[in-house]
Amino acid sequence: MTSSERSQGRRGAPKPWAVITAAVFVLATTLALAWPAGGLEEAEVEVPRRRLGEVSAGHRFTIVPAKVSLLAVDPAPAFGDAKPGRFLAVELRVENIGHDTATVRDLAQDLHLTVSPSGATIDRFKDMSAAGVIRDGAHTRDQLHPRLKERVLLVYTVPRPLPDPTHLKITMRDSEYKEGFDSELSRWRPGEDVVIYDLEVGR
Amino acid sequence: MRRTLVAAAVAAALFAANVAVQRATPSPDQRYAPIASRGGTGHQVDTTTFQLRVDRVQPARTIRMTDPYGLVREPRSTPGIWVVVSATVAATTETFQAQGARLRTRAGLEYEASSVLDTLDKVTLQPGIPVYGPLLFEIPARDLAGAVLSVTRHADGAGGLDVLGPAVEVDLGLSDAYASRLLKEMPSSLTVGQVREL
Repeated sequence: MTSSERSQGRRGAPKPWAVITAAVFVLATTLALAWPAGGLEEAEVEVPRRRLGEVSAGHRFTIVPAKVSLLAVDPAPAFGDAKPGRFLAVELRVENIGHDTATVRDLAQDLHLTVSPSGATIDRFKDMSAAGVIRDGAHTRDQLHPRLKERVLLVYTVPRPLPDPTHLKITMRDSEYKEGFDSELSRWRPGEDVVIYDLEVGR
Repeated sequence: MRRTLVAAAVAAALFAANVAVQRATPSPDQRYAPIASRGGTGHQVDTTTFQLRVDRVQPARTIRMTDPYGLVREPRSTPGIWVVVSATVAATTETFQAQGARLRTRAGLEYEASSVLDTLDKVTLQPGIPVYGPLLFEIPARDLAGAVLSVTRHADGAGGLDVLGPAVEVDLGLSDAYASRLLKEMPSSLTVGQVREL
């Protein structure tokens, strides 16, 4: 056997110890990654369900629903006298736990509302008639400053074909401060659902 | 054996250097942040497009704004304290709005100027005409010490950044002892004057 033949034989057949090492490495790496995540089975995301007066926290806000009521008069008219209609008023205690000033509109974007018995979704943009901080007898302020607790009023009009809501389900989606696909600059972006509130609508 | 040890040591050193470079690399937020000129209270701080001088800092439990006719409005409360920063701003080259006024605390929290109308950050400044007036902030009382005022052209854009724009950062000189004294002597209500051209 020439020296070149010996060299080819060495390259062609991997040694048993190399095969075993590679297999152990792959297995150990897979286990090390999969074990802390709960195994190889897909983890079920269980969103907690809470009631009136219970606190929930995301990365940007903590909220406590304080009161939900169906009103026959607009409780927060933008201009002039209060108009009659069907208004769903949601009062929350809120703390901005993020690092910068947010607005009540930012919070409202994270809240998805479904009313019963119809099961219809309230459009959080189109159906919203007012959103503000309750302070000094008014609700015209919009800012939620970090670490300052506020009472917030969100008012939605109930769309005409829907029956009067008796229950309200609020799903709060988290916001996370991170970079995204559109920009490498960080900003608040939608995250996972944090909590589902099952609330009775008072009158 | 010796060669293997040397190779392992070189690999470890390269790995450590890699981690160090990764950590030292500024984030995109830092790379695109406004370019700040720094100063203290009572001193004029210049940028390419505006000049700013902080004249006074006063905390208060409630404030009362003065309307254009000189009448004092109803008191405004806050769950924290009001910080009234009286400042003089002048645009130098083009019209300017100090909409990106923020108070940054030691803990790294950023408080945008309050949305109360008739304050310095709501006024459009014309070049060469200095304007004096209040900037209003609402913060927890415990965060007053060490607060820094940051002013940029506007607060819009990604992450509220004025990308690579001019900015002013003013250390308000609120040491622990001074902040504590200000809080102790804080008035229950402070009347805030109008913005005026100088």
